[in-house]
Amino acid sequence: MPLRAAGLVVRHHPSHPPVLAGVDLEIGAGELVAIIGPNGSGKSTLARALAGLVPLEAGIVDSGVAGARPPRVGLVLQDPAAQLLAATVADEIALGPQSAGRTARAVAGIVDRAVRINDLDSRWQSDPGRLSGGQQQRVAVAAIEACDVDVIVLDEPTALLDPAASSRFADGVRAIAGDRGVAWITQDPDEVERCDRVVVLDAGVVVWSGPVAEYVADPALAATWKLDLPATARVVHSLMQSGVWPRGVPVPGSCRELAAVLTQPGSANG
Amino acid sequence: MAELVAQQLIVERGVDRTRAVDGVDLVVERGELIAIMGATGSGKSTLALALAGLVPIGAGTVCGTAVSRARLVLQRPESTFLAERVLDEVALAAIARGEPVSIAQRHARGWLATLGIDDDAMQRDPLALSGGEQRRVAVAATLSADAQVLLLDEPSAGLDRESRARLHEVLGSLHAAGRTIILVTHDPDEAALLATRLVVMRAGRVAWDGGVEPVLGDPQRAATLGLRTAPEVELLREVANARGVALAQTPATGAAAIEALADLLRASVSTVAPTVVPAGAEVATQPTPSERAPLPALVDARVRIIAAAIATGAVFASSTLLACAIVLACIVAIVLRARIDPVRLRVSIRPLLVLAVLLVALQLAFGGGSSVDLRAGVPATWTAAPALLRAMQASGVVLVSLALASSTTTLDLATGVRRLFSPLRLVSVPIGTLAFVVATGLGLVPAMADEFERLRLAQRARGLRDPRANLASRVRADTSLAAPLFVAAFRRAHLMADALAVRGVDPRAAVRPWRPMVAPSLDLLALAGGIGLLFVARFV
Repeated sequence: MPLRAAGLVVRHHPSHPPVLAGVDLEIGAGELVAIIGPNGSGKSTLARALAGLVPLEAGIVDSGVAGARPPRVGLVLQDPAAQLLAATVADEIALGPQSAGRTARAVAGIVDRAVRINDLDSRWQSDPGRLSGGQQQRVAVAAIEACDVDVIVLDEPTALLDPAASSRFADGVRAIAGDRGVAWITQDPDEVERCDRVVVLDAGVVVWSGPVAEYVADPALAATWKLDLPATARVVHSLMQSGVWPRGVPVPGSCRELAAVLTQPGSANG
Repeated sequence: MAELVAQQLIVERGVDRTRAVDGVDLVVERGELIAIMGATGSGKSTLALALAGLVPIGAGTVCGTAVSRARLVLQRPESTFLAERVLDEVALAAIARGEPVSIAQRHARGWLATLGIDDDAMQRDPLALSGGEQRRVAVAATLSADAQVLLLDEPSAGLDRESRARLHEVLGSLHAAGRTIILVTHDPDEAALLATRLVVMRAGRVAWDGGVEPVLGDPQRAATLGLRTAPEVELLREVANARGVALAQTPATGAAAIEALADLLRASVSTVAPTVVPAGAEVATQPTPSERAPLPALVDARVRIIAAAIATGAVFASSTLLACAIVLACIVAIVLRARIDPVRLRVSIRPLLVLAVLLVALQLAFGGGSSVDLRAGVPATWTAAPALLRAMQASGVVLVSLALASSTTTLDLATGVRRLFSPLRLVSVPIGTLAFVVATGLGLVPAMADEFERLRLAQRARGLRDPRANLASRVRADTSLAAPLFVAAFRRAHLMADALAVRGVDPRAAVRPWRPMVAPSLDLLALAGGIGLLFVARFV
């Protein structure tokens, strides 16, 4: 089920300016959307607003389909340790479905599936607090997936992980999406190129939204909001300026693809 | 002599006393900018803590001319702000050193200006600033603490590009002005851009100590050390290898690698046979810590709540010193068996001591039934006995609640309380909500112990807490933590509530099914023996 947010306004204090000043956003089923923006642009507040955790001064979060129920939104927080509540991984995953009043048999099935999909087979009885940061984030995601949500919002899930753990986590995000929509809030420019669409937030409003290919094609765009481009795009634009990369050839989807292009003889070589 | 010298340094951490730093030798000369890198758990943060004198050292020494002036900016320092105005935050250290307030504030203004914080921001609450500004305020607050060696733990984590560039500029100019800087970082580009020397930690030992380019310009060597280079460097190497070009230089920053790549593509002849793109470097999975949960985690929360209630009852029912001593010994045994983090124990024992002293004083003053005959010169042992009893009872209760809170998750506590008191629903007591309030409160106890310890660490890192100071000034330092601790409590409670809400947990909903008790027989025996002893103690 898609998610549509229209005119979201959130104010933390009546006398302060709004943190979100009318955000419009759409996330389709199965779509992976990167939400980026400088520090203080309202990204985390947007995540909480979509999940219904902060009161809205104005605006609505619905499915955009007349008569349909509002979409269920799950949120994965930045700090892996702060969001884990139960004594074992299995209990952690079971918490959501149990709260929703599912039967014991249904819960057992959900936990079993979640544990298998997320590669937690050998850890289902472990204390989540004793897992590594990357594994804790996997458990947090599995726990949200088990809640049968339509859209998952990831609020900088890799910010507190080391580079190896965060690239492993990023590799799995496409699988999280499946037929759900995923909004991926991130500071890491290289995570942007794994998504389908980019939404740039600045001072509480959406200032740009479009396909990733379009975002990485124009270096001036990211520079407007003082954001970094993914490494692939940075390399391609520099090579273009040096006249080594022909103009008009699109930026490859990842560093790996770029390497494949550059190591092939006769291509992109003036 | 060098500014900092670590010799055969060993630091043990955690309940299992694992060696986070395992025999490190390091010499830091004046004016160096050293980057310390390594995978998570390699001991780099602990090394920084040890160099700043903030963790007890197991073996070896840290000495040098600047050993008492090495100051650390903790990870995410904005969560340890102590004052309500930026200017006061930065002036704190100088005031603590005994400088007059006006001079301290003048110096603070100077530091803040150096770090690009304007006059308007100086008058604001540090928590109201942007992430990048907060980080620079934290650096200024540490610099003002007479820092000759500045250590920073992941200073640019979570900052956007502009704030990061600003911070790098600041660190560069401090280095140019002759200050020694040690930077713990994950970011290869940051290390390559700033550092003059690279130290790579692996499993608590120094795996590399030397130039930056040989590691961060060479993806293969970096991988053997458990690191990754900047993606541009990886790309450059891959293209160079595929084209059979030997690189004369090994650029380590992303920007330099892109330049070298452009040169290479311009110059190279495209007659190299196509090569297969090598698969990405497999990263070994981290070894997980020991998985065996301590006994209390395996027992149903209700059993734990009842055991805690019995223990508390036994503590107050034991009317002789001997009985109380037995009960206390049982509780201590259970707490030790629960493998509670010694840091938490230490933190909770401090208020316990205050309570004990207070109770003893009260008992001595009012006699608690037995007379105090100071004129006759009666030894105080008789009157001290009931006082000691009260003190022991108080410590027992605190230990019991600590054991319960730190061995049981919030959720299990709530469910346990709700199940035990469910009959009260018949008289319309909102037991679900009540259970949740109690459980969240108790669940915050260990979290608060962590926060308290972190705030104290931040105070020491900035030289606000002199280990040789007298009791009064130490008490003053502790009481100044009340407000930040209050803020931290709200932050933690808020996060906990958010985590519950997104999972749709409703305190009024149906309770969870029984969890079977799984415990090794030895532990069950120990538990049964402990409970038995408590009953015996009651009738001694």
